[in-house]
Amino acid sequence: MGQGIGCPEKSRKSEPALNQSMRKAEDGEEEAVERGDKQLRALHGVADLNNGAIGLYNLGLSCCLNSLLQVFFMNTHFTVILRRIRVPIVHIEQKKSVPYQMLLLLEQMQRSKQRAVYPQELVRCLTLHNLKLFVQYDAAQLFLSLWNLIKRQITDGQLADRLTTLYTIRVQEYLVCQKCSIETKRDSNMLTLPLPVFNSCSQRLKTLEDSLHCFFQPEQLTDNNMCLCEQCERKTPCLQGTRLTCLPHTLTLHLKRFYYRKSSWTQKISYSLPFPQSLDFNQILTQEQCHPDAKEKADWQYDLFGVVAHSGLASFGHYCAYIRSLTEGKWYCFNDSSVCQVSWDDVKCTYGNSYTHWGETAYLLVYMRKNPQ
Amino acid sequence: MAQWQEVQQLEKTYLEQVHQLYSEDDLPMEVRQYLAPWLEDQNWSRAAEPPAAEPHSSQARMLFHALLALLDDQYSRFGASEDDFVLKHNLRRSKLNLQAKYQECPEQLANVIANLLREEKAILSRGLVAQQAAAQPPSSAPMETDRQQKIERRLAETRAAVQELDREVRHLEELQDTFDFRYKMHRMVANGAPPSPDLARQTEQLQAMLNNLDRSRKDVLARAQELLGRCETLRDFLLEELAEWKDRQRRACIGAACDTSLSRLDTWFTGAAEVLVQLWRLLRALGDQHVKLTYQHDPLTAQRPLLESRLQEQLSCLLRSAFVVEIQPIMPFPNRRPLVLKTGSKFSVRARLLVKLQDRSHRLEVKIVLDQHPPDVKGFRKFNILTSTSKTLVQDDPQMEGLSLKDQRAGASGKGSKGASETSTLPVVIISSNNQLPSAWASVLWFNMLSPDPKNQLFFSAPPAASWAQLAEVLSWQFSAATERALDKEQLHMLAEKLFGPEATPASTLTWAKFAKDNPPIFSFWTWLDGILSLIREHLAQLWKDGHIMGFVSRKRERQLLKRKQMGTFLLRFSESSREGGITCSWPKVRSVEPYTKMELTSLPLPDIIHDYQLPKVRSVEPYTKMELTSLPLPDIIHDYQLVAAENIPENPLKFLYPGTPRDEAFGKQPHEPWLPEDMVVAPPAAEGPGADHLEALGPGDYGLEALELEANRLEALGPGANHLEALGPGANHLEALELGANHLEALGPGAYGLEALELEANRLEALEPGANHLEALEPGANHLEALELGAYGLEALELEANRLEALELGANGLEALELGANGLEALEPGASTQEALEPGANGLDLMSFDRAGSNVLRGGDPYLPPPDDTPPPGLPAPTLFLGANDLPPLQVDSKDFQ
Repeated sequence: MGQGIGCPEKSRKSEPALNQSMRKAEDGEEEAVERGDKQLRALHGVADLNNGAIGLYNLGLSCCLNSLLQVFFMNTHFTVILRRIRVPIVHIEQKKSVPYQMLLLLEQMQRSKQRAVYPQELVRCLTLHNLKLFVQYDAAQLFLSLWNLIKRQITDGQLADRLTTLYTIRVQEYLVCQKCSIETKRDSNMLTLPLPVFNSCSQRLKTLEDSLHCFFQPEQLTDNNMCLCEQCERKTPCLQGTRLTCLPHTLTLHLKRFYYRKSSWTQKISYSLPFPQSLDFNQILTQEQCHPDAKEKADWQYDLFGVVAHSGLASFGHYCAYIRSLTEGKWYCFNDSSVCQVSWDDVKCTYGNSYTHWGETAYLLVYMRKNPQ
Repeated sequence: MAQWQEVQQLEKTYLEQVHQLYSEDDLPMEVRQYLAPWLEDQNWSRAAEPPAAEPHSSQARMLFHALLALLDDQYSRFGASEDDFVLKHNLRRSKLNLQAKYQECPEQLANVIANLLREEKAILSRGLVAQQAAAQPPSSAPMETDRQQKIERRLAETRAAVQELDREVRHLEELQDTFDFRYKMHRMVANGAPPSPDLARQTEQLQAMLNNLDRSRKDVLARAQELLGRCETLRDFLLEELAEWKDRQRRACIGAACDTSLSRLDTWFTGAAEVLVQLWRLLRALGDQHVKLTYQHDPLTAQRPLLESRLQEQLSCLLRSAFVVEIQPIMPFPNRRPLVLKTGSKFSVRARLLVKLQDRSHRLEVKIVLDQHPPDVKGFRKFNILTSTSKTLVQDDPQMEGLSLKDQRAGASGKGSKGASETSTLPVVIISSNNQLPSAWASVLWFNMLSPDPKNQLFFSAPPAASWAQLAEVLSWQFSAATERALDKEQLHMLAEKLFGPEATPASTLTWAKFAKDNPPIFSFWTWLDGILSLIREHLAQLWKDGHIMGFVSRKRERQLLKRKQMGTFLLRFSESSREGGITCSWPKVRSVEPYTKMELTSLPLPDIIHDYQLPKVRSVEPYTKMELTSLPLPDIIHDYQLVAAENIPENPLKFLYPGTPRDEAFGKQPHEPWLPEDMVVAPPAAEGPGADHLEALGPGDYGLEALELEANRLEALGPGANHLEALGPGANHLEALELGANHLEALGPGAYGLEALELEANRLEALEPGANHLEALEPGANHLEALELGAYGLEALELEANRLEALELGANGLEALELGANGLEALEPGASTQEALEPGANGLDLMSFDRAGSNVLRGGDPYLPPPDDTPPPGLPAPTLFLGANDLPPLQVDSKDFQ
């Protein structure tokens, strides 16, 4: 945990480019499937909570994993996909399949008469994929690794595509040479938007909206940061920025609260950064910050669905997850094996503040699109 | 309170549900009754569901046997009395039933009890909700905000949660002890013994126990994390509530009526701290358990230090913010204005720790420090506290009293500190003499109104301007704090116009300099207002409180208000020119006109005449200040008007307090003897003399319209505008409306700013006006009207022409207005031959007697009887009234006469 977030310049590059060529299937057949899904989803939506919210035992610093699993499991759009995976036939394959183990765990949670269950099979499976137990993870990193594992192991291509559509953010990065004005563009996909807590002048950003705005603010690259312009055939000062092309149904934002200073250890910023219960990207972003071809902009309206909060120091802490149940609309707090219903005030408490260092601060924010059409 | 006790206090309908609950014979109610505390203290749900890893849990069995043993114990406690006999029987039967029923399956009993307890809880919460709902409507007086309810609820929740956690930790301890014991036994047996299936089975069992223990530890830790998270929210609520309290206190300091009681905060902070302290004890207990028994991947190793740090931080944050200044620094006198301290005078300040610590063995000491971090400003002076600066914080009396200061000026912030926590008072202003109080208080007002940061010591290096919206509120507080009556909208409106002119809006801003910087001889707005405040506080508190003093009303507005009111209506307003605060009464001047006859009315209908008959003059008295009011209260002064006036003037001008309250109703009955001997000088202290303020000379006819007598084809209407007369030319007949002064008698009152005009008609007897110390004698010229005009402070030389008297303004058919200014006092000495020297004081009485002897005009007979035509009043022969300009010595004003 806490590693590799890096300084603002680098962080964007550290986000792996996902599958670059993604197309939205729009033919009629797919729509039919979608309709069927909707019914199913409605069914599962109810079913997924008929046993109440169930905790997951901490198997040794697995609070981070537990929180992320809860975020996955409480997302009915994800569980619909999970339930349709092809079960591996061979036993050994089953042991190794992350999505399958997740499905088993989900079933176990729903069948359980206990307040919490042990996710040991899944943890064992993850260990096989190099995600070790008893290691402190950074939630954003672990989320990425976990998601990639799931996607890679879903054998059904269509299903994998759906998973991708559900989670990936498509952006266009551009670089404009200030000398010749040539623009170099590159499409890329991101799983989370790594949002800064400081702006380029190292001033604290006051709200999540500010932070989003700052993320999409183009940046001047001069001096040492100059880039090679192909047309000018030399290093020129240029303008680098990101445009938003497409927002997924489940949007994950990542507050860069951990930062690494040279010759020092990772530190955590616990300043307050309030986030709203609903976000409208059309109001936050300017025309220039969106890709001209961006579609479904009317759908860029989001409600907060989950918060993965971290308490403690960068090197030593605890994760818990606040998740709003999609079926009842109530907030739950998942602290490993302990689950309880909470209020929005409790979620607000994770805004952070400057007078405590050990308190809970939001780290990952998961927003869900308002109208699921 | 224990659950069972609470259940028994429920209302009937809910009790019925409880009876229903126990109607099945699963657990007899008497068992529930006798073993209530014990039953509620056990973890039945855990016993009911043995973990999968440990199918033959001994927990349920253990509890079952404990229950039977307790019943036996209870049974043996009953005496031999007859009452107990039945009870004993019932209890025994219950025990036997239980034994028979659950011997084989104690888990079932655990399950039954767990369910019963849960159901009870549900009924209880329903019952409580209903009770609260029932209790809410009548007792809605202490309005709870949403957040306050949330705090109460959350406090209750966290308390319950920490109790629950406490049980779990104890359970954990039992589990651990059992395991420990069996593990040691096992080791002893296993040592050296050959491996056997039996031993392997034991090992397996031990492993299962350890797994269970591990699970329980994880559970407890997760619960503790959870609880800490909820406590964080609670703490945030408390801090918000505290911030609001501080804001209320700040506003209360400058006069707002805010609730600054700390009792609820005290309860909440103490409650929250108790929960945290108990949680801290539990963590310590877990630490002890960890020392006794640990294993690989023990969750306690990894998570407990984190929890402890989190908890400690929360607790210290709570304690730090719980240290507050309950009562801001205040001197015991002269008025209840905190934050202004005088060097060499004692003051007190009270600090308080909102958390009542149960541990009284540690002394809490409060230390007071002045200007811990003095700003780097030139001229900043430091002060020392003379007396001891530290005091032990005692629960009941954490007050620092009798502190006194040594040196002078500039804002200083006192700081107290307790261990690591410290708190600041609001900035104080230190003065060295009492006459600095008003300006010191102005600083306190300005600061607390405008500074968002209570520690900003550089505020006055560039004080911001205040908007009227802010200022109006604060000014109003000054009045409500001193007298329980705030300024109303009209009064504030007048103040706004005074400050900002007619275009005043709530957004208009006033600078600090304009508000409080005296620039002699002009005094600042605040100096003026504070003068009025102290006048009200010292002399007019009751009148102000009862709303009898309109006080802040402009002259223009005053005229508008009085215009349409019946005669005799008056109002009280504060002087705008008096530095130390003055109050005056104003009433519309009495006017009458001569009777209108057919002739006039044919040329101008009466409604039109009446319509034109406007623009009343308002008379006011010289403002009464502290000095006068000290010797005679205002209500008495108002009554005294009547006294003197009643001597020979039929009416007192002050009959109805605006808008229409009879005087006596507003001010109470005259407390003094109604009549005073004539020769006693009734001297209401404010007035220059009895006459000036107390006598209204009324023409024949008090409040009616006076008929004008008109010459055949010569009608004259005299309409004095504010200070001038307008002639109306109503066609051939020269109808003129006489607007001022009925029948040529004019009251001359040296009202504060009053103007007087006298009008005369040809050949008519002119009015003699026993104004205070002066007399206006008006000599009719053939066709002339004359008026005498006296300016404020001014002395008028009256010129005498032929048979008439002329004032400064004299037109062919002119008329002169006699004007008296605020402080004007005219003594007209009309030459020796007239014997009409009017002098202040006693001479006024002469004048009255003269009046009596004089024309019937003044006799107050038939008001509508026109005065005899050609008869100059005896003793006042017109031609000899004034002999010449030279005969008129300059009017003498003696300051003594003002007193």
